[in-house]
Amino acid sequence: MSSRDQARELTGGLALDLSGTAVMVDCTALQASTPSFVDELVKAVLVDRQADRLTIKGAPERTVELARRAAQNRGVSDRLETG
Amino acid sequence: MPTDRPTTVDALHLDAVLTLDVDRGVAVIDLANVGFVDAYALTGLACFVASADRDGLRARLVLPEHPDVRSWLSRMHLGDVIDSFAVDVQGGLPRVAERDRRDTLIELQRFDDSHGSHRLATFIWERLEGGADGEVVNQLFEATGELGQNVVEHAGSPAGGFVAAQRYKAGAPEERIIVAVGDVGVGIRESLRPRYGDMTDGEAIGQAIRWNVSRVREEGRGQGLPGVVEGVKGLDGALWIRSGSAWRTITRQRATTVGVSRLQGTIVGARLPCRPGR
Repeated sequence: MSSRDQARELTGGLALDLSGTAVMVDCTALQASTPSFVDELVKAVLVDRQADRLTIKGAPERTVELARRAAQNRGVSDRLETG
Repeated sequence: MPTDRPTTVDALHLDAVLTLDVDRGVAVIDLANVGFVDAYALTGLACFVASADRDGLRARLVLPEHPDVRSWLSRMHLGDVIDSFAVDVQGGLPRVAERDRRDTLIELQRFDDSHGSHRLATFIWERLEGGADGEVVNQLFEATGELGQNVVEHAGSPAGGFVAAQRYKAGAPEERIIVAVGDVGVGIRESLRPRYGDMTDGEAIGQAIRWNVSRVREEGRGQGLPGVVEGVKGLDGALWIRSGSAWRTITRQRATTVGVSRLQGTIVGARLPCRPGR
């Protein structure tokens, strides 16, 4: 996964308001991702749609690192879970 | 035939083979005496041709006399660019058998949207996986994806972008990969100007590699290019960023910026050791 558009497409079917909702993304089949893709994913779920939590499951170590960085940059680290 | 032309055309020597004659409406690439062209320079040649086309100039290509270099240009699909932009070529590129060198060459390709840049990043992953350390392949995937995204999102390049890569010295300790992404868009300076004001091309490149600097006024943006710089330096590679009339080289040890002939758009290239630290 490499582009912001892909992250937008991935989250495009979600409700516009996810407050009170936890979102889990199963990344077990993911081989690699770019910072832009991960940042857009974090933005779409935690910033734009205000989900209570975003859980990134089974992602490569590098993707986890990128997600933590994106969440920190956007001030939503407390609502990101990785595992 | 000029004798002062370089035999090697790479990031450092690209200008030496390019001549822009606006009065006569001609843009010339003279590779006559060239014995080697790397993937960065090839991407630069494609950008030069696209830029000439954009400016209404007639592009003319003098092919290398050396048959191996002509064959390499053909194998790297420079012919597609020649055909797309109606380049005047003296003679022609030879037809070459496309032997399987999938793990060594990423032929010159054009992309014009984020799906295209994603396909290229994935293509690079699939071609290079197993041919270099995992962290190197991952960094090249990230770099190609980010740089391609920048072209699509920020460059305003009507011709889209170009990418090419090659693995060199296969099996040798100095085995390395060069990948380059280029466009003929507005350049980094113009892209950043509405938000950060007037600056030189060199200053604009310096700004663009800082964290959180982005044309887009949004918290969290401005991670792409600085991330590429960090990743390439971390693997003891080199990064070349050329935009407008400035060219910056970045390695772990140092960064230098020099003035170069003005080229439309931006070309970013990276050289990475295939097996860093060994």
